Amino acid sequence: MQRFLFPRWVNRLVVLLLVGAAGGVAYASVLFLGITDPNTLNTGYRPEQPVPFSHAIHAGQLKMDCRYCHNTVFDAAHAAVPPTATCINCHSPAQADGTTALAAVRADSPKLKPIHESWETGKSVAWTKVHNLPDFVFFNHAAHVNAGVSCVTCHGRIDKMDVVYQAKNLSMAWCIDCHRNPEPHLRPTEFVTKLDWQPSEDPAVMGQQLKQEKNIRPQTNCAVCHR
Amino acid sequence: MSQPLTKPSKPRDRYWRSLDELRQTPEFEAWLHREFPVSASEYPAGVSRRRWLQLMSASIALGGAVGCRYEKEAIAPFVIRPEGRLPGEPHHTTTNIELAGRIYNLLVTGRDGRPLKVEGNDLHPSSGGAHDLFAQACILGLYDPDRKEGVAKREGGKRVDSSWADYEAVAGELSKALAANGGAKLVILSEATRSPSQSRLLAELKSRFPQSTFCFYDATDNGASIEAAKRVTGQSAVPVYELDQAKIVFCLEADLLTDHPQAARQARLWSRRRNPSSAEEMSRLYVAEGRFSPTGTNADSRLALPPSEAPALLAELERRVAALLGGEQHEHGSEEEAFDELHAEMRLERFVDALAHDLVEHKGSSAVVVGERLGADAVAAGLRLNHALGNWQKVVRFYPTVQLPEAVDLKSFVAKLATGEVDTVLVLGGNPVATAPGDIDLAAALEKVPNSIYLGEYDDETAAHCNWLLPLAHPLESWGDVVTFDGYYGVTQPQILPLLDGRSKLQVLAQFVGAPETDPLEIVRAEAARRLGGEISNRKWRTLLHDGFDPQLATAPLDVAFVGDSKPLTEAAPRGAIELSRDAMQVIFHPSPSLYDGRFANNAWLQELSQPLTKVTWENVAVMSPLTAKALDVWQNRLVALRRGDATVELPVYVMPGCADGVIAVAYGHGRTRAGHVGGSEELGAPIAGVSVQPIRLSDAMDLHLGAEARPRSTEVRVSTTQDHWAIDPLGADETEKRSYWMVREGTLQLFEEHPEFVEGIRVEHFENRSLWEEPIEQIMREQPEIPQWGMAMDLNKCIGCSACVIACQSENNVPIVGREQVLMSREMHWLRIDRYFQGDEEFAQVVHQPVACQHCETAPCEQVCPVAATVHTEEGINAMAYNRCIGTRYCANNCPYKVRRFNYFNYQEDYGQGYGIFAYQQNLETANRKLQSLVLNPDVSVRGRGVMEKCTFCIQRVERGRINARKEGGRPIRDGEIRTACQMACPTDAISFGNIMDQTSQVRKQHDDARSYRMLGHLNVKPRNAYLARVRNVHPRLMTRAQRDQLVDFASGGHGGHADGHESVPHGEAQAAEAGHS
Repeated sequence: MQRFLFPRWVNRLVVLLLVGAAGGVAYASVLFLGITDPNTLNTGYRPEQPVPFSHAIHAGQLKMDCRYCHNTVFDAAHAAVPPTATCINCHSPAQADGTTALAAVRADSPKLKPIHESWETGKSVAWTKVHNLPDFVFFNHAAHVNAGVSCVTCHGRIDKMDVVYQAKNLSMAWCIDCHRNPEPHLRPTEFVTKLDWQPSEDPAVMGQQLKQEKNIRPQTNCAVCHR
Repeated sequence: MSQPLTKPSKPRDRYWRSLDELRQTPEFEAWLHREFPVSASEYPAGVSRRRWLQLMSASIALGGAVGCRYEKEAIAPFVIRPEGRLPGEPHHTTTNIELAGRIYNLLVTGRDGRPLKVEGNDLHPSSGGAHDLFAQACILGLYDPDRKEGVAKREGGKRVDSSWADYEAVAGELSKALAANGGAKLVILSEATRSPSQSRLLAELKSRFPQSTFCFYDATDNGASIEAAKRVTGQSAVPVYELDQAKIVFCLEADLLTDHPQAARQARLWSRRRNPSSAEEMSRLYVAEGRFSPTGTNADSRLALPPSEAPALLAELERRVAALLGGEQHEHGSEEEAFDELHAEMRLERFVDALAHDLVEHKGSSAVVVGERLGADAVAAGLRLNHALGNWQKVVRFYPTVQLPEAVDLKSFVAKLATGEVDTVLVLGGNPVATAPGDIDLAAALEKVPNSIYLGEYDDETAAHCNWLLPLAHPLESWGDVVTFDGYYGVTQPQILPLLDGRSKLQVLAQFVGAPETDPLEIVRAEAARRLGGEISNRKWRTLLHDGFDPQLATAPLDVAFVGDSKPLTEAAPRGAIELSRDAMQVIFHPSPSLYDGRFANNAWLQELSQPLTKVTWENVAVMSPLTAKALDVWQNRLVALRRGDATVELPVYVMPGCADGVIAVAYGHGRTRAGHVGGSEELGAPIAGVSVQPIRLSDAMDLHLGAEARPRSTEVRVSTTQDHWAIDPLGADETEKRSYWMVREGTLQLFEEHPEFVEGIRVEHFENRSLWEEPIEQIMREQPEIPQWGMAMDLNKCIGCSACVIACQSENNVPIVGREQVLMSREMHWLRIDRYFQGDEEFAQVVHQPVACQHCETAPCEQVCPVAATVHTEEGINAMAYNRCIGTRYCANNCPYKVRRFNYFNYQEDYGQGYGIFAYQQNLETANRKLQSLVLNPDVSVRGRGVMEKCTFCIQRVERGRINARKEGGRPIRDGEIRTACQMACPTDAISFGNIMDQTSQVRKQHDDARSYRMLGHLNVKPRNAYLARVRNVHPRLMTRAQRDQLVDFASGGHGGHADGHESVPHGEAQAAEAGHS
């Protein structure tokens, strides 16, 4: 019986195919790692919101404190998106007969239509979550801001953003970096919402001092976030 | 292509960001509808397949690239946020509910407006928040999808949906028609209640319909206590035992600590006197009973007594006490035999004598509690004995009952229904058809009535025979009020609006009666106002709701004098043992320790609970002593048939040493036929759990039947218990005995007083525990003592085995249910289990309960073998699980010496909507068939899926919350008692303490340093953070067992525990010794 022999050129072909396959795998992994890297995937994420709310105007120009709207941040795990009522405080809609309150800001602006609709129908405004951590991460705002970590450390210069985008990658490695070395990111609690604050003394020294004073001991074990 | 595509009005790239948007979102749907006039789910006409494919593939390609983000989440805030509401943060509201015949003073934790976890109201002066497993489990009943939703009525033989408005119209008509002849055609069947508002409305009902007939039927309460109290005091009163004032407590056929309407409070008060190290004298509990109840396991001295002899024993005791009080004296002889070496008659004699002496010696601070099972005569005799001993007003107090209209018993009630003169029957809760005795055919009687109205939570056995089915609101969603047994008025405050359109009894009664006020809030507020002398200010009302009680709304105990007779209960002498005859078995019917009278049959947590002592789940068994089993020719797991008259029930046999011979104990409440998907339903095709014993439980013997016939059956079944009942060879038994001190250590009070170091002394091995290296946590403890280190202590002296902690843990940590088949394979998921150990032999046994959860070992064997570091040690000493890392090797469970790790062999959370693969997305919660039930999950704790190991975490979510609260207040140190685990808070006897062991002043540190403390399997050098406090029995010297006497002698002679050559230093365990541990 005759053995089945491949023609000679198959040898080279096989080698080429293997090299190609290896190259393909390498390419695919680099692509995959690149795409799923938190910096690629998350940083810069800027979804469109149902209402063109501009933090640059409200928090930046008008210098409203973060806490005016996100008032639960020092007490709760969520720095809650404000209810429609908070917006209506300034932006109340025209009443049935067409009159508006004297203090109402831009009551007839089309950009405020979704807010007015929400107020009148009682349906929530469906904001899109920008800083979305996976469900198995339990993050608590109160623990951080009370320790002196500013909004700007994780959220960037929100007061300069017309549309909010994710400024930092919020990956686990990034969080752990600060947990292992919190001093550079600590500031006195009263300046937590002052996004352009600069420390008067050496941040490392001040951070160390604050850490001692307030007993700040960020844990790095799994259960502190993944319970 | 037949039609040109029109350009979409919104830019195309907006829609292709994620595959989900591609599949489901409204924008995409809207786009499709704009593009293709036909609905998206159909193959659209007018577009070629090719074009469609091009579009779809383009979108998939683009979607794939950018679809690697997490699913887009929307944030939908309130339009107007309620003042003070912190989204996602827990809030606490008090309530006082009446459930399963008990009154609970609770503080319910909720999140975002929905109640999640039940705790006790610590500040309440009556119970201090003591509650039990029913209160813990009722939260699951609130979110039970099997509950009746909306009003339904029977029309033409079929069930038709209706509405409250419909019903009210009909009821209004009925009410008017009935009033015409004074309500002669109206009958009302209800559960008894301690709600003053309900009582008032029922009285109004009676006055509006004076000819109507009332019946208050309670499957578990035969009214003996109230009847007896009336006889001895002449007033309508209920006896309340202040057990913390009692140095001697005697329970005769009474399960004071778990099966009693006041059980939780009694357990708390009793536990205050169970600390042998404290200055106050430790109390002594005597128990004489037929079955082995949890109270019996906590007895310092227990006599297994057939219930037929109980009245005679009580009479004998009365005689002896009277004699001793009169100054009689007598000799006791040398009493060389130990208590357990005596035969039954002598044992009874010595027991009664020692007890009589003790009672008289401590007169004025003792309590004699006679179980209702023995009937009003016996209970009255017990109260009389208390009076003779001067216990009244000190230990035994009487409080007023809540008045109910005059009523007939169930038999007369059914007889009245059978006459055909009744036109309308109003059944208020309680499911009487399922709980009625076997000789009363309530179902048939109800069918005869043209207008039958049932207010019930479920479409259950009673609902099947009634015309109107009105959904009853759960206690956690109703307004109402209750008065505790010791006189504290409290409001039942709803935690959430009725989920399934239910209404409370107050509402239905008020409407039926035509009361001017039908809003239950106002009805209750009016009652509170009345009790405060006419009005209640807003502030006072809000304070009442906030605190859960008001000291001004408490009733003082009644001023009573003894007006009973002095006729002896019986002239017969008690016999220690009766003749065993299979035609004269004494059957004790007791409510199921997990399902009560059956009302919790659809509560999965309670069905799967390992019942105290038998550790049986999902079913009931016939419990009997080894000798009884032998006499009946049955053995463990064989079926036995019990017959009364024409009715027979077959139950699996459970052999338990320590039961009185000739007694068979069966739990009722199981075997319901219309409970729901969990509890069993013939209609829904859900398997029936357990066996109903109602056929042999007849109205003249609801709690105790002397003279049942028992025959063996040839079938053997597998009983799903969590602690197996192995037969073990003698050598194995011997070796197990010798090592039993690894698990459980026990001694007597005398031993503890003379040799406080006996707990350590029990150890046989002599080596010193030393490690080769230092674990990181030990370094942390050494170098950074300011870091709190969490530890726990469990006091075996106080654990009564009630299992409230098990349910609390399940509630707090989203522990899943696995079902009977999986329990048979030892796959139950309880993070905390209660092991029970028998000590003694077949003939005489004592029991110790030991709650076992993860010991959080400093040198954890599980951490060392995890290949992926899914289980790690926190800096604060907690052994934590990172569920996502776990790959399911199960090596950690293998290595754990305590076998506390639980593996999710299947996706047990599927019913809650936790899915895998394409089922993993939020929208698939819609397909989970128990969607409502997913509301019970605690959002602070991960819900584990398939293939992941889980175990007790020391409630790390609570620890974190405590740390965060301390951080919010400036980083202050955490105070002792600020962080309490779920099991700790649920325990009515405070057997569990938790805290920082580095804090020298903390409760847990004190317990770790206590002389009684030891570590389970301590010689393995795993350094568990859980300490156990050894069980110390305060047994009368005359009633000491041989083992207890030997222990004293051993330690007195200077030996510690003896050497490993077989010298017994610890109590025996023999063939029936239950083994610990899970495989």
